[in-house]
Amino acid sequence: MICPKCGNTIAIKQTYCETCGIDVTVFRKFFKISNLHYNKGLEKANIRDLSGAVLMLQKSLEMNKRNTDARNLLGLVLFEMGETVAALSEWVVSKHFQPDKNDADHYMDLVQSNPTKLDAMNQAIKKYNIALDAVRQGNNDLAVIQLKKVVNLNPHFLRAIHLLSLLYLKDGDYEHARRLLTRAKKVDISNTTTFKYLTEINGGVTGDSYDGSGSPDERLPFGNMQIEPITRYREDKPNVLAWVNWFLGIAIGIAVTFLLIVPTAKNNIRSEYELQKRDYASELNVQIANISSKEQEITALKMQLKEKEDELAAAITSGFSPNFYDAYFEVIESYQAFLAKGNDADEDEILTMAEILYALKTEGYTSQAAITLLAAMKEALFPPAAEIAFTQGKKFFDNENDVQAALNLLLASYHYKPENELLLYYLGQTYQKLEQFEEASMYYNKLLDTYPDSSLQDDVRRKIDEMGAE
Amino acid sequence: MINFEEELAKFKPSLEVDQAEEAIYKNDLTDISDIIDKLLSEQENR
Repeated sequence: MICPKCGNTIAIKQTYCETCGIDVTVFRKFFKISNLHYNKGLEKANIRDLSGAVLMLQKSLEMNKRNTDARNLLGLVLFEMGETVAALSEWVVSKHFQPDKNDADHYMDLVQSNPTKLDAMNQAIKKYNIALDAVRQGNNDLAVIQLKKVVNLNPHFLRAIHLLSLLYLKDGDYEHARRLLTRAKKVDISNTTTFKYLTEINGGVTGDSYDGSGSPDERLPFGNMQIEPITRYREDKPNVLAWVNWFLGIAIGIAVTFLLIVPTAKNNIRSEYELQKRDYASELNVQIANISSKEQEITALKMQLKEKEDELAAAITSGFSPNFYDAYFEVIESYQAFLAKGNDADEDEILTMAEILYALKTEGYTSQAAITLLAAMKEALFPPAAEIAFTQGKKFFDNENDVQAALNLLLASYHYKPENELLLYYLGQTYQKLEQFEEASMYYNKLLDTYPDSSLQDDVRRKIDEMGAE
Repeated sequence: MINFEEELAKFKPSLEVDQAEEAIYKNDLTDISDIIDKLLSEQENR
């Protein structure tokens, strides 16, 4: 034992202090009582009767403030009840009385080594104070919000749980209050405030109203729930209501889906389909209109093509052909060859060229230049050709070698240059000799009509008379 | 029946961690030994 006055160590069986001389008998009794209370406090702490443990430990410290074990245990119990600052205070004081080999060092190190947790606890305390002020000002809603946060931060903070339960009770929310208080009971099984509030929730069944009937459990509103050793395992009852709600929710969801969402979706799909159908129909009509207009265009073009083909056919049958001017070009080529001979061309060549020029037909010629050139060639060649043909024809007639050949030559001369009095006379005579009197008469009459002053008039008339008589 | 106001009055503000030092100093560490010692001193002074 330590002397309470001088701090000197006193032997167990000694009744006085050898240093200061005080009688320590009473003090020994006090220390014994302190230890007794400490043991009771420890017993209560073991079964989680934290409120009871606090009372016992405080009594122990009243008997002996230097009881380090009691003070450390008190700090632990207070910490478990969420009273962080009170716990730290006890540990600091314990350290003051026993600086060495003190468990308080370990407890404080544990708390301070987790700054996050410590800060959370401090936040919980601050919010609790804010909530308490809010309640006193009548702002219960704000207080409830703050206290919910406090309980989340420090689930063992009994004062916060009690205050929140009180607010729930005031609002008539017994269910939430009951849940909170049940949680508080698990932390501290014999807290009077917890029991008081639970009694309020359970309808206030107290010992005064009990008349002796009924089971023993009914006498105590909480039955045998006063002591709930934490070591006993109790399984939480399954929350059937939650499952029922879950199934109901699913059923309602399915019903809502099929009654509201599915028809709406179907209608949307149907209207979208109708819209698309309308669009396609209008597009189809447009395409049909396009096709019919194209068909009409095709018909018109076919008619135009037919007309053009007819025109082309008509143009071909009218004599026009791509080779229409080929004969002309051949004549030009022959004439160029004839001209190249110059004065070396004999009479037969002249006659042949004249014949070629005469034989060329210019009907259908659209080129005025070609016609003009041909006329020029004829004008250049026909007079000499006519002279040569007449001379040869006259020779044939006079010598009576070949009257037919004479006729051919004379006719050719006539074609080239009909204005020849003597030519007309010989043509008449030739036809007369060939006994083609009609043709002969024609030429004789032509001579008479064209040359009325001709010296051959009498001779021609006489021949006409001769043919008439024959 | 619980009286809300009465119950509310029992709730006191909690000290914050930074107020722990103040709480420690305010802590009354008198035990029965101190009381007896005081009584004895007073008696001796008389």
